[in-house]
Amino acid sequence: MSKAELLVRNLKSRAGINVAQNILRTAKLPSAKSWTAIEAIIIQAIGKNPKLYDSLVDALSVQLVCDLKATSYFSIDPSKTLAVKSVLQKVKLHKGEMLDAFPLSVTAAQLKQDDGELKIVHSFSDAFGVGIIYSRKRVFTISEEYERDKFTAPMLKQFPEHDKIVAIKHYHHQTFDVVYLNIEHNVIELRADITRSDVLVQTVKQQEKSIDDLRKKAQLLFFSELKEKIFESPKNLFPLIKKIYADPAGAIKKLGFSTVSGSIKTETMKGGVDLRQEPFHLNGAKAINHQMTLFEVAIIWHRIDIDSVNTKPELYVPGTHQNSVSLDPRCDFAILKGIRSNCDSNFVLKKIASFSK
Amino acid sequence: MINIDRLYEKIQVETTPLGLDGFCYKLVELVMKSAINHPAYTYAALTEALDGCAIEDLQRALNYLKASPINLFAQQYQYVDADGVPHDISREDLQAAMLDNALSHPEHGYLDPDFKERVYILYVADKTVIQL
Repeated sequence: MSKAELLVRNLKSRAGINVAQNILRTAKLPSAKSWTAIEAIIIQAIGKNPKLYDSLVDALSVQLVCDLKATSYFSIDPSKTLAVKSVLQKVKLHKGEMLDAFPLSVTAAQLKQDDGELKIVHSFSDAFGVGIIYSRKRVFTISEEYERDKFTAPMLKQFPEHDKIVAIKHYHHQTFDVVYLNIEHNVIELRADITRSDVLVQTVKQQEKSIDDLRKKAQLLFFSELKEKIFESPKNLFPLIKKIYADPAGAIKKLGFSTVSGSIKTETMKGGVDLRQEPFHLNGAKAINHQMTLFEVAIIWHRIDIDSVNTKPELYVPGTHQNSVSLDPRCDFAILKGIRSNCDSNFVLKKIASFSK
Repeated sequence: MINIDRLYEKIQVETTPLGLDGFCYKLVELVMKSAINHPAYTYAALTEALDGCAIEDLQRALNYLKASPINLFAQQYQYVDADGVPHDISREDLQAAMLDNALSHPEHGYLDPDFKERVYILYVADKTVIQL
């Protein structure tokens, strides 16, 4: 497989098609709706225009930094910001295949050999802050079902009364987790990878492990350098749910709530349309005098209408009804999707800061 | 835009010989009753509104009301993503998905190889074409 093909394959599995379409547009190349066509255009164009390769590599790298993350936010003492910044800038990268391949993933054979420990493979800075990326192998499983008509003769003999056999197969996936310091807001963002394969996202349990491992690793890094604890628990996002629901700037995509009559509802809206504008939701909310206890919310901001940036960052604060009725309802992380750059991450953080006021 | 009386007249003249007039009237009434301007219907909802008529008759009546100059209905592909959120997708989106063996998510662009189980057809009416 050529370098270009490998790059396109990585982009395809880690980024949305719009990322590639934008780059083609910027390079004044024809674009297309399918990856098959885009791949052909890119492979042909890279030969004549090596700069295209670089911009695709940059895009992949930005993607790994920002998008598809379960993000926890930790406010730090402003007097520590400079020290934290310097720790992140001075980290030693972990020499090895993952570093060599970055931002591309390592091959399946190389991944198999990985020890599964978080290793720093990249450090970066941008207009809003500085950060590092950890990478490692994760082992996930997939279940495969074999119906009786697919049984081989020995299987039929061994399992004469079984109708179905469920096989649990494990596989490896390379994840990219980020520690990022937003200097203006004095906030450390821990962005844990939420992917489980090219197309699957992690289950809640798997996500919790990603988040916990990253937090421990980051705490250790800062403690070993600065000899003090830089952050404790993450910002509780649960109280923000109400404010997000009231934000007129975005479109509410998903809402989970319980009503005064004791029912629990999850509503979703057609992509791009604001749930709050829907007759069913409007009338329903009115019928119970807007007495809803919200437990989860997802909002999409069409930035083109807000500050003329052509992106659609999505913030999802997940939760359950059980959590919302507990004595101390918490949500320690939000799921971020459609983040095209740290400018989008900064936009979301600014929103979160404004909701916290 | 078409005047409601003119529309009924047209349906009577043009679809009575095909035996579709009753279905067409009912479809028009269904749309008129809608609280919103662009109601979307599944096949199941339309069949029910037509008292369980044969799917072939429903399709023929829809084809008539879909065509110019009436344009009361439009066919729309819908895709429900893994989060359960539906999205309108175009024929071109679907063609691209067939080529790639995966659909690019309409909002974020991530690939979904299981899209075939998640795409279905809706009929979206445009109530504003009818003039009262």
